[in-house]
Amino acid sequence: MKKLIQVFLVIIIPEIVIFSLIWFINPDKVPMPFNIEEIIVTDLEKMPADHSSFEELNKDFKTGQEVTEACLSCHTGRGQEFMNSVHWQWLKHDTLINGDKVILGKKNVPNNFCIGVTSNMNYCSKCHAGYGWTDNNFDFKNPKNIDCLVCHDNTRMYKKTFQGLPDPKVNLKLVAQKVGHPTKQNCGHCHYQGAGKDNGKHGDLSKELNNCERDFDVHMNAKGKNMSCTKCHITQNHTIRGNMYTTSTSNENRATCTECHTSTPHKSKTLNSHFNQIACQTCHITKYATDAHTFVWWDWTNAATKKNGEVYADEKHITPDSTVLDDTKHGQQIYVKNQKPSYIWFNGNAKIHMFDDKITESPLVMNKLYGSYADNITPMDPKNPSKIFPVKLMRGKQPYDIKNKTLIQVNTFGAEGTGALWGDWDWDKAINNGMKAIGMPYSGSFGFVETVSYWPINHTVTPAETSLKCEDCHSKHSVLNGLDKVYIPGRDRHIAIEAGGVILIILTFLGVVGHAILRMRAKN
Amino acid sequence: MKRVYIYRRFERFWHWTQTLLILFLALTGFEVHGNFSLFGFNKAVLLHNNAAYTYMIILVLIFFWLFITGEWRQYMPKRQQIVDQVEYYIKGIFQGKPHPTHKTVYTKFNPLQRAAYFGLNFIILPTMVATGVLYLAFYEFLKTGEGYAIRPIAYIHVVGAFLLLTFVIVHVYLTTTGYKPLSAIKAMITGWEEMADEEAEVVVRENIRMAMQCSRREIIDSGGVEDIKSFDEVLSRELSGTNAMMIDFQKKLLQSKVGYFRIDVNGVYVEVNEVWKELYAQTGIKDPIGQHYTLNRSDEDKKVVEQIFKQVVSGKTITGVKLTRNTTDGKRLHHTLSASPWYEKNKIVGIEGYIIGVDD
Repeated sequence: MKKLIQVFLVIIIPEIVIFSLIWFINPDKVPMPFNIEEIIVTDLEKMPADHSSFEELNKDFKTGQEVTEACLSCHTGRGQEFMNSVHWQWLKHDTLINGDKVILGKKNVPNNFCIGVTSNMNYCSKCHAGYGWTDNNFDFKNPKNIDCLVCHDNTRMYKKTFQGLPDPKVNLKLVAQKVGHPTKQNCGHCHYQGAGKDNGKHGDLSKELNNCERDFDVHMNAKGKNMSCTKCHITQNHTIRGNMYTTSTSNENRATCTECHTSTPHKSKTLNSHFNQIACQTCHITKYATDAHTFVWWDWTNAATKKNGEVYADEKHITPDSTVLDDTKHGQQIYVKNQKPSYIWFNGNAKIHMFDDKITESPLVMNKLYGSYADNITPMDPKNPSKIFPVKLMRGKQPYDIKNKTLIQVNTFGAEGTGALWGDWDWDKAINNGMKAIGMPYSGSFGFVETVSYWPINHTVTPAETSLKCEDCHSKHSVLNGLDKVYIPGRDRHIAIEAGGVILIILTFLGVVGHAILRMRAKN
Repeated sequence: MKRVYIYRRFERFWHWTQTLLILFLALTGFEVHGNFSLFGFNKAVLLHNNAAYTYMIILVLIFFWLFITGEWRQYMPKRQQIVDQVEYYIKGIFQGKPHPTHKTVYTKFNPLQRAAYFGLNFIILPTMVATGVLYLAFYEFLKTGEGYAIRPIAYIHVVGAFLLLTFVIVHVYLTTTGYKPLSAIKAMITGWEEMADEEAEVVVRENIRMAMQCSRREIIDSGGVEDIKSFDEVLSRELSGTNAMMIDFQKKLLQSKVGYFRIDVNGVYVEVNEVWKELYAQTGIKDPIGQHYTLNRSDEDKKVVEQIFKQVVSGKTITGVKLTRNTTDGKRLHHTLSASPWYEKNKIVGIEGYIIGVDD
């Protein structure tokens, strides 16, 4: 009895105590976790003044310029301010990681969708916050050409058409009297429509955001906070925060999650520790293009070819979620839905391939996003060590100058007889027009080079319960299987260690069993 | 069959805590490693970390205990008899030969165990702790921009885990090679190990010899004032243990050079053994029986022994007191004294105790 009590006191009770502590104590809990409820989304939707009562706006405007004049007559200085912005210039000053200065933007950067804007401005300026940008002669110093309404229309009736002019059907007086802070619809007017199709370019920006459910986007959830774009893309003096790494090279002026959520948003320390290596988006945006198709492939090789002398378009479903379009206009396009992102290491620095850069690789990377696992040990940019980011990959083939080894600007949009590709279906004329417009030489011979561009996925953050779970990365079937340098517990193992360990244990076991059998035999 | 006390309370406690922790760490660790799914990755990580923190605390206690008690010496590998031990496991064990080494409180491990436990306690466990800590601290370092490659660290941790598992298998198997298959495990639970009579005699004698050596060393170290618990503990345990009582203790004391004496309430020697006589040979006292305990002591020593006698007769146990005895040629010899009351029918009728010479 005494012995039994001793065994209880010395072994059983202490073990019960120790293991209950191990089981129930949670040192991983953050004592004072970040509380999202403390973040108050301020309401900027109401304008301080009722513009419909203003004499200046009580006119029957004939052109957009007249509206702009009326706006600027009160909002003095705002024109100059806006004319410095990216939305007007389609260019900005940026720096490369080596310190080199670059000037880049939508105006001069090639892409692997429609290739480039120059020589196609009649069409492309539909999305310019200005009026009448048709060619290189556009006056960027004339504030009257600013299109205030595309961003400040609150009636949802304003529409832009070719050359960036207002659709003639629009009641400019009504729109002008109902201006306000930019809404989702204003931004989406252009930004949802990249590559000419809802959700076409980014894959995470579509009309659905205007009126979406919580499951689609927690922030913009119409029944929830219903945040507008500018809640994150904070705007001051017409300078809008946010970078798109197809036209940016440095980690400047970014709109980040940490702005509101802090860098330790989770209730678990372990989850918070992921912050050093994993971008928020990686776990919290697990899918893109859930509502509308997005492009993943655009091969221009067979563009401008006809079937039986006729312009054609064949659309085929490859899978329920992906469709291939072969047509005279575009060549071959593939657009898909319900995509899982690819993952890359990214440190916020990029290198954009410009029209005058030589092509040295295939596939040609249009926007090299710098970063690697090695950043964990020796950061390339100590201020911005690499993190794992989700991206959409856009691939395709597009024309390049075989002799000069440069990408080609193509004049795609234009009427018959102008030499535009979609007018005359003649590559040579279209290329000549395009190259002349960007002031680059063309050798006369062109081919098609495979290209790839990276589109960081930043939007459509879904509720926490739908984010990646531990096992989504920490398992053999890790979504991060493309990133092999980083060690991920649960995913990575050394085959020799694993095999050696198992063999060692099996041999030990056999040895022990063998020894025991021999002993028993010897006894008998 | 007899039982001999081998494992102390704290040892048994840490052994089983360590056992459960290692198994639990292996279970959760291999889940984190992706070998199976039981608790779910999230919970597995949390439990693995908690168990790791606990183990680190326990390890600090164990190592503190090992160094304070000097038990660490038992883990130092030695080459002596290592071949005998290997031969025993591959040959002798099948021929029913006895173990070539004895398990005592002071030498619990045979040379192979020493090597294995040294590897475990001083190589594998520290490596596991070090790699584990580097693993846990990685993000703190990363935050300050001083990351390091976690992959080799993780691989070493995995190698250590496999070695630990191998150790556990062999260790559990070898526990069955005791007197009876479960003797060793029972001993680790109760502290008392079952042994054959002859083996037990050897072990008990060894225990006493070691206890005395230790007490002698510690008495010398501390200048004679230290209370030698280990000596007292071992002796009293050997005497009070049910089965150990069967052993001829006097005989062993003789062999182990412990002087034994018994004095009645009046302070008169009733019994002494041969070793006692040997120790007192140079003092001119041949046979103290019937004489008072003050004998030929100096006045100063007389006061001390009177003090001790009074205390013990009133029920106290005294251990490791350093005393002097005067030889006929004027030298002063030293010994330590441990004494406890001598009971008869629940009444103190005198004192009995042991003396150990400390001059050699």
